[in-house]
Amino acid sequence: MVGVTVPEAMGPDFYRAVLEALSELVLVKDPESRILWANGALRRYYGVDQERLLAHVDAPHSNADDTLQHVRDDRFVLETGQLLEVDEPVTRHDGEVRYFRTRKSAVPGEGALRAYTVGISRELAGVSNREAAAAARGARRAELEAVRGLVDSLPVAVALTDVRGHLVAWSRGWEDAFGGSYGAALQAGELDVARLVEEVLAKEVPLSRPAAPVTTRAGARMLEVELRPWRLAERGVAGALVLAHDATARIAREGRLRDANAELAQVAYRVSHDLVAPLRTAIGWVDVVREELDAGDVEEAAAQLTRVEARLETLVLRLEELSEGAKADLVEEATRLLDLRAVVAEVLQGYAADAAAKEVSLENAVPALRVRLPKRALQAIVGRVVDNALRHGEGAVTVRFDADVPTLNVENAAGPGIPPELDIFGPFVRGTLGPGHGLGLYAARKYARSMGGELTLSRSSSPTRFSLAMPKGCIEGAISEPASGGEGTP
Amino acid sequence: MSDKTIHSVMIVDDDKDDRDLARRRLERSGRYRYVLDAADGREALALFETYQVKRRATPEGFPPLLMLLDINMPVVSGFDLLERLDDLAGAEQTRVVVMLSSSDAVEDRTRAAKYARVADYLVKPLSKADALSLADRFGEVGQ
Repeated sequence: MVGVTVPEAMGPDFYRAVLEALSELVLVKDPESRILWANGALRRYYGVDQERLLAHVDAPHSNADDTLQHVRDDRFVLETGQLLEVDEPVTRHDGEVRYFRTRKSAVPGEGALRAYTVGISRELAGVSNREAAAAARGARRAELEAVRGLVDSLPVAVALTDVRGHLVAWSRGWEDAFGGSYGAALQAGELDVARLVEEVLAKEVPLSRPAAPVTTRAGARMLEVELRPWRLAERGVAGALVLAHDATARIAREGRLRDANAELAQVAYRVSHDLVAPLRTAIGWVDVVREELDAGDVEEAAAQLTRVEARLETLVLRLEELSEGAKADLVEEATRLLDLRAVVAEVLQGYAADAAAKEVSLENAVPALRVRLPKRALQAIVGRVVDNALRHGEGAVTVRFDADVPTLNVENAAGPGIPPELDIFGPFVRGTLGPGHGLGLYAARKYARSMGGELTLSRSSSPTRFSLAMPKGCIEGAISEPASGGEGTP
Repeated sequence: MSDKTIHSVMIVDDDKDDRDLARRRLERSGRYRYVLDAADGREALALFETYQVKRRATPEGFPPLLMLLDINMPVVSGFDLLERLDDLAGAEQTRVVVMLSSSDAVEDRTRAAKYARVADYLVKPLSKADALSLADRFGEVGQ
């Protein structure tokens, strides 16, 4: 050829120099719409250098809605392999929006894969073209605003992200559930919603996660999420839809139900032993009575009958205690203002004779205190723990109030000691060989829980101590003169 | 009629009436030379634990060949005692354990079957027939 100088090696530098020389904006992106390369015209338009653009989906100052559309267009090109020509707004580094006609195409990769997109944008010259592009942009915005309006009014917790995973809209339900702390809910605790959004956008498939603990501005919550890709018209995936459900209350209810079922199973098992036991023993001794009668020893038969009688009485008592324990679950008693000291005094008075018979003292060291509690439940708790102390212990029984925690404590100066591993509050569980059916403390804890408190064995070795953690907010203050009969001033 | 006898048996039961009834059945069968008892698992454990060091102080007939062991006892249950029996001096002579229970609970029966020395599971009260049957099964002639 004559008069034309062709570079000997048309390597990457040559082509880069050619692209840099173009006045059109040239942009190369990977399949995730991340920028791989931009020519000088585009860098100048965006006012950034190559490094700052690299791996970003768009320039930081770009309008989110425009970016959303850019990414949708990239996907269309990659998925169809077709050339796309669009008139689109592009925001300049100083915020001015100009309209460009972009021709976007896919760069083939290995096999049938399309590895990159390349876009070449030339600014629209004619007024009519710019107006048409502006109108199209306005329509897209209106479409997005409609979606935002719809999402905003939803009563459930819903959030929408764009294709970059950035928040586009969230519902009032979301604000109600999480105090508006979308970001905190996304990242908090074990549930990394942001990562799940990425996964949904990458795979374009729905996914869900079971409840996990998260901490939001609204407090600790158990959060379930379901995510789906969402689409606008027929232009492909527009982002991710995050449906969040606050499962805290449901999980707590399920936990209580599981506990109740476990307890029911334990009760059923124990009932089969402990209620049947006296009957079987009685049957055995009835057989002995028959033997004695057959042998003509009426006196011995009569003596053995007393054992039968005693066993049947035991059975009656167990049934009564079991029934009392069940009442703690079923009866909801209203709270009222009480003088704690006076209520304890009433209960101790009921055990004065038993204590005298054992030659031990009962001491009421509780201060005059106004509390709002269900009276019968409080009496049942204190009574059963004191009864337990008198049955199994040998020393003085003292009831104290610890204002710091606050707890009502029943101490037995010479309690028998209870193995800490023993579930002393379980049905029919006995900590000693002494008298009792193992139902008193079981019922006492039920009463404690029914009024919002908790009964624990706070000291298992002698002197043993049972502590009733008072329900939150039940203490209304000290009183100078305790009212009679345990009733406080209204 | 079999004349097999058992040299020594121990009843471990926290219920005095059940203990007395079992003792009566065993003694009146005439097939047990020594009938020992313990008021619960803890007392039975103590007997075995002191056996090594105070052999003379243990009751005559100790350690027993057969143990009738109640399952439901406070503090140390029948299963608790079974778990610890292998580590106790003298317990190797207690070759046969028969579990006693007030109910025929499948879970208890299944659990009991896992212990090599548990030979049977009886629902209380111990009958005359039970006392004879145990002697026939585990006793020896001419003891």
